[in-house]
Amino acid sequence: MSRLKDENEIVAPGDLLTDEDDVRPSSGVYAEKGKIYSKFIGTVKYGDDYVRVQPMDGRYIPSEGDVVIGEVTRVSYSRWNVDLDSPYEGTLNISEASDQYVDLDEDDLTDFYDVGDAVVVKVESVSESMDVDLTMLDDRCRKLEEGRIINISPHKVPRVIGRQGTMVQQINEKTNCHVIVGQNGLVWINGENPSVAAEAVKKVEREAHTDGLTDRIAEWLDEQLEGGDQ
Amino acid sequence: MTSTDKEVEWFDEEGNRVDGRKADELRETTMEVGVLEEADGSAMVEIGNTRVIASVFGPQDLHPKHLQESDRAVIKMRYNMAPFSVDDRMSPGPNRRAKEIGLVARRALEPALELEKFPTAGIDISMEVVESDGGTRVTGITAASLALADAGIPMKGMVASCAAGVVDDTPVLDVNGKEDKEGNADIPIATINRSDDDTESREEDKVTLLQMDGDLTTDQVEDCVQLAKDGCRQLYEQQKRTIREKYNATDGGDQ
Repeated sequence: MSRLKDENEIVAPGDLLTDEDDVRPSSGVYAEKGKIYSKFIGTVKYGDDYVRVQPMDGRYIPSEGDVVIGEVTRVSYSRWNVDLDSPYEGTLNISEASDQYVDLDEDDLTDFYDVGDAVVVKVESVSESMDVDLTMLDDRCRKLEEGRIINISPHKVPRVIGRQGTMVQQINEKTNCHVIVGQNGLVWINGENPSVAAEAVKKVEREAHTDGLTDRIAEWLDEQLEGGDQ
Repeated sequence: MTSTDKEVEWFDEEGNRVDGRKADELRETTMEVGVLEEADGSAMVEIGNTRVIASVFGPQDLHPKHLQESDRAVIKMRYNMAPFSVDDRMSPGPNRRAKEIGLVARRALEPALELEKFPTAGIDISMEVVESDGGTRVTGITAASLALADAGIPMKGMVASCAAGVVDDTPVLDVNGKEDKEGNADIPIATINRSDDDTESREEDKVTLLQMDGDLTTDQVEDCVQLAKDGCRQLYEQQKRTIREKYNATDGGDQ
């Protein structure tokens, strides 16, 4: 007996998942006395030698290497504070924002980013006391002009992106939009049918724990877009 | 209005209590998760005529800064009774009783939470008593535990809570308002529950709240604790059902 739950079964905190010794506790679970329990409301995933729980909900906790969407909340002498829709605020230093020389006494930092600007930014490092350093020195990072930003649970982000980006590509192509999904659950949408794209993203979020989602979303998008033309 | 003035018939000929329950029976209980749109997590629990809505905000930035802990999240717990929750209007605002219940409820929940995952952050939990008929603190804890799980806070298990008391020298489970006020005594208990239910590990059920209001003999205390533990287990099973129902409802989508 190793699997006490079905694959993708919904579990609650404290649910026993396995009592086998050679199974490794991965994310979302904890081990005690050779038994592995869930820590979250979520869905169980059994691997060859591990078990994990994909949580249903929860706040975004910054992690090194994540590309996220944030809002500039403060401009100081040499850096910006960026709200990441998380308990922990990010700091973007001028040296991580531009590879050109900036004279701090002469140049105005608001020329780069001002309070209220939305940016795609990468998490450079996270200290033990949860000080979050950000960087813009990555191809994916930029300031976001136009478009809209919607909010989903950060735990549903992998599903919205899909395997090798299939889900977000499909939404992009069908709605003729450009969708950027931040790891922190903020999603930027710009293009021809932004409302349909936003509704599609929300639908993926709601039904993230169900099977056959990519095909169902494709069908749904076709239906919506046809209806819009009439 | 005490039982000495006029003898209350606590049990009828068949041994049923004032509201028709058996001695070891809970009141009719309904639970719902995710009742509030804006909160990170929320739940409503109704046990008989007692109804509590719990909400969770966070983990989030905590102010003032001196309250922050560098190695864990800090919980702010609020217990509040609505002015209309009792038969005679209650003046609103925090009082000594509400503060005490907020404190014991926090201590009942904290051992189940992995607060060290969120250093310097704060978690706001609120238990709003909408209707009160005995057992508001235990109902609040049961609801708050559901709300915490709904908010995605990592937990070692679900906290369930219920009270047992003694009326007419007989231990009874889940005392209602009348039994609470006019009975001999009652003991509210909270436990951390996990799903492996063989008796061996049941003995490790962690009790995180145990209070006593009134006078009881040693045997009665033991009986009450056992009764309340069994009650907590029943509530825990219902918590799990409630969680599963919420997500299974959207299973397969609307197609």
